[in-house]
Amino acid sequence: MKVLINLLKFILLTILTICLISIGIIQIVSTTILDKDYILQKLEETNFYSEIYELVTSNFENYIYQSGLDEEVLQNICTKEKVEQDINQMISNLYDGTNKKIDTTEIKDNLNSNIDKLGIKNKQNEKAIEQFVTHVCNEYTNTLVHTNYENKINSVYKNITQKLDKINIILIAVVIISVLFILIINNKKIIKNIGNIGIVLLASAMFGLIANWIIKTGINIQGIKVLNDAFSNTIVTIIQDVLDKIVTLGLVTLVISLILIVIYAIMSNFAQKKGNI
Amino acid sequence: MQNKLVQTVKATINCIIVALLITGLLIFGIKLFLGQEIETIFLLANKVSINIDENKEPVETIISEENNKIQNYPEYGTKYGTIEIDKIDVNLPVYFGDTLEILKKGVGHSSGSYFPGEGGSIVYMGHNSKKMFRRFSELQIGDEIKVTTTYGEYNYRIYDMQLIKETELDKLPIQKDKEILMVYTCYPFNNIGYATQRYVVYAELEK
Repeated sequence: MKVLINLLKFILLTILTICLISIGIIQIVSTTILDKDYILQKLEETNFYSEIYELVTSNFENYIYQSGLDEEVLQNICTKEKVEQDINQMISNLYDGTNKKIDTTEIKDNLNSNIDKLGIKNKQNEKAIEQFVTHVCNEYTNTLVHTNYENKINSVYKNITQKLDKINIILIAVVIISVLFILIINNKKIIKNIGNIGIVLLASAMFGLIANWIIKTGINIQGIKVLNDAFSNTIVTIIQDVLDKIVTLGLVTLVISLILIVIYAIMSNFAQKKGNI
Repeated sequence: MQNKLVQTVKATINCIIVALLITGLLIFGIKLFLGQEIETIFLLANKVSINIDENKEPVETIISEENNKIQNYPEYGTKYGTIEIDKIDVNLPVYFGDTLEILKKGVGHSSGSYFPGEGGSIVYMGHNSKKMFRRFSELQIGDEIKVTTTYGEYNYRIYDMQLIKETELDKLPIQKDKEILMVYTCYPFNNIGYATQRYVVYAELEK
């Protein structure tokens, strides 16, 4: 009978650990990758706007060399503020489900105005200049937007957040039921419950720390390159931040769990002497 | 007192052992049921990851004076020299490679051609912008082109200029009998739109 009870307790503790780990992961994901404000903050921290602005202007130069026009025509056609505003618009499309397209009228007008100042436009090159302006505007949009599936991504995002909310409620319910069962098994003895909480927290903390170690040793995070340097830098920063959060949570849980276990060990010893256990 | 301490340590170790068992069980379970998926994620993540060895020391390019053979060719995309054409105030960096990214930075060296000093055809290219080869039309036969590399200095003298179509690759022959430097840019120099002609300057190595 005692073996069966201990086995049942072990299973319940394992379920509790799984729930606790899952709740931890959901919390971290919800407050990082799935949080628009967090992403905007990281973009700011990693100089994403400035780097994309540099990239946009650098990509414009590719067209200037091929076009034969003077480089001056590209001066002040696009501002850093415009790039920032358009990137934020893209983020809103992804996270809030807005459907605003990037407006390149300002760039087009500034570029045309610079070309007019040169006084080189005539009937022969009019079409070529128009093409050049279109190419530059398309280049701007393509550098900023790497996907045509913003609405699809937004619906996936909404789906994930809704599911995560439901999963969270289920997990909390499972935690409550498991705790109730453990309370019944432990015959409401507080000391044993403290020990059990300590075990669950310790297992969760060790799992988090081991998982973090496996990811860090298995993937060369620093070397990740996606689309361009600015994007890669932001992705790497976010991944590292998420892993750091896991480590912090793991270490805090580890300390708490060890304190609880030691308290349990001392108190159970004390209670044993008194004959309460 | 000592017995009390032993009991306390025992109880603590027992709890840690149970926690370790649970952790091990979870890791084993994940490996059993999601092992392949996790491996795929790791594989994909490492595919988009580049190993940058910051401690790697740059290898020096050396040319043998006996047989003009180069040891340790410059890495693709790296700057290995400069080109100077005093007549048109050109002093530009030369990169090994001819991608758009390279041409944005300076003069590109076609990877299919020889390096200066090797005794064969060298093909350089650059944009026709103001900062680069816009003034190519001012060059004349007899003008000098100086190429300074990390392994030596080479002076060339222009002996021909030609206007070719972009498809006429036979006008940029690759051979190893004589050291010839061919530098080209898009033509017309003030063209707007895509240029289909190339202005090529041919120069031979001065003895």
